Amino acid sequence: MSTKDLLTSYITELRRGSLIMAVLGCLHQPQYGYELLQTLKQKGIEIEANTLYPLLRRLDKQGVLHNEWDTSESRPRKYYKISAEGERLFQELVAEWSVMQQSMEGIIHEQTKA
Amino acid sequence: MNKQKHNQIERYVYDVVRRLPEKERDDVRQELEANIYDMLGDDTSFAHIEEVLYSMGKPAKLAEEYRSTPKYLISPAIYEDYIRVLKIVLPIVAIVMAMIGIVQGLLQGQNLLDASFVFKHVIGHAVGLSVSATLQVLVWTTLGFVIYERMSGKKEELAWSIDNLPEVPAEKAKSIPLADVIAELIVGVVFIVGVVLIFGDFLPFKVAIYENGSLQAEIFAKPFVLVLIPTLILMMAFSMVESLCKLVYRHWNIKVCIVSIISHLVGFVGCLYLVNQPKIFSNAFIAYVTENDIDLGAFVKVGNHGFENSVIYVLIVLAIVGALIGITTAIVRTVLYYQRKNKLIA
Repeated sequence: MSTKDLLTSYITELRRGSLIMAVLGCLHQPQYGYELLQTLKQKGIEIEANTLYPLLRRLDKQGVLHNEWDTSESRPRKYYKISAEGERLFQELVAEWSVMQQSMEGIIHEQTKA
Repeated sequence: MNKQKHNQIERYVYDVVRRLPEKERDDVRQELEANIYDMLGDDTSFAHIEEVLYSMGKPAKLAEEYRSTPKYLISPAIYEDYIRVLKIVLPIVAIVMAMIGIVQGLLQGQNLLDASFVFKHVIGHAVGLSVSATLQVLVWTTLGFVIYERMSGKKEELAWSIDNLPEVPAEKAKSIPLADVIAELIVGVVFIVGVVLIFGDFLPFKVAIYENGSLQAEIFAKPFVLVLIPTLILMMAFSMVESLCKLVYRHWNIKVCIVSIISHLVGFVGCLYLVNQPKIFSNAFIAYVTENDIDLGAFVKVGNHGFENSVIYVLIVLAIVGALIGITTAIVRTVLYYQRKNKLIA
């Protein structure tokens, strides 16, 4: 595997871990799949449609999200919103994220000083 | 949007959901279709539909994402065990069934001098039996593992204990390679079958001198051949028992060592017994050689001895050297194994 391929796979792995946080954070307002994809893109989060749609379904199954079909428009759409349990999880994740960020920054700064 | 365009999306979505559990299909189909139409927006040209569908990736991969647990026939958790069992069982079944096939083929034959009969009924039968038995074993082993895994379910993952960890195997260099043992067994079977076919008059030709396709003189004396066949088979059978022992233990130990020594002693005694036969070469062969003024001394000659005695001397030397090398190897390997094992324990 070339360095470039390695980098691509590392970055994908790095992003994957934070993806659930990004999704939960954006779903305080109900959104449907494609809408959320656009929202995430606007906020600079790179995610493929074929990753996001199954992820939404998985989170829904785990009870972290609620879903609701909106059939009032010409085309029915499935809206997702964070659940109460999801909200608790999200707060825990945010706390964990800041701890991790501090640790990482410590490591990175040590590196640049040395 | 016309029907054909609609059809492309439908086919894509169908190819995804058909891989999912039945009760989820409808829901995923509706949602996925809605998402794809959302992605299309107002641009419903063929090119754009294709672009969107290609961006969604291979249907099988997308379905994999939708399924939370990946599907396996044999999961990675037991794959290693599965392969290890197959590696031991399949060659044994293949060899044993080939042997049985050959014996069956030989038993039903009346006209074993006919080459086409030998190929069709002996070799053909053996290969057929071996292949079909191997396939059967492959299927049943696989099925066994699949059932075992389905039955044990997820419990397996939680309930591991340190007590159940396997013993560290003897170091690679000191263990007996599987390939060697299997090669030994195959050579053994081929050798026995060869001896039976060649000396048992099962082939359309004999061990003899031919001139223009007609038999001039059989090389070995008849009584010698009658002793030769069982002796060679007995020697090879002992050698195969040794190989089976190695297959069971996969490293040298006192049992393998003793079996190996016995096997080499049997080989040695067998050789001595053979060269002690009163007459090895047939009269016809000796007569033919004398008649045609062939100098057999050019092939083998020890001192001033004649051809037959020279052959005997060479065979005796080979038998002694072979037995010595074999027995020494067995003892040295066994001692080394135990030394290493003691070192590991200490």
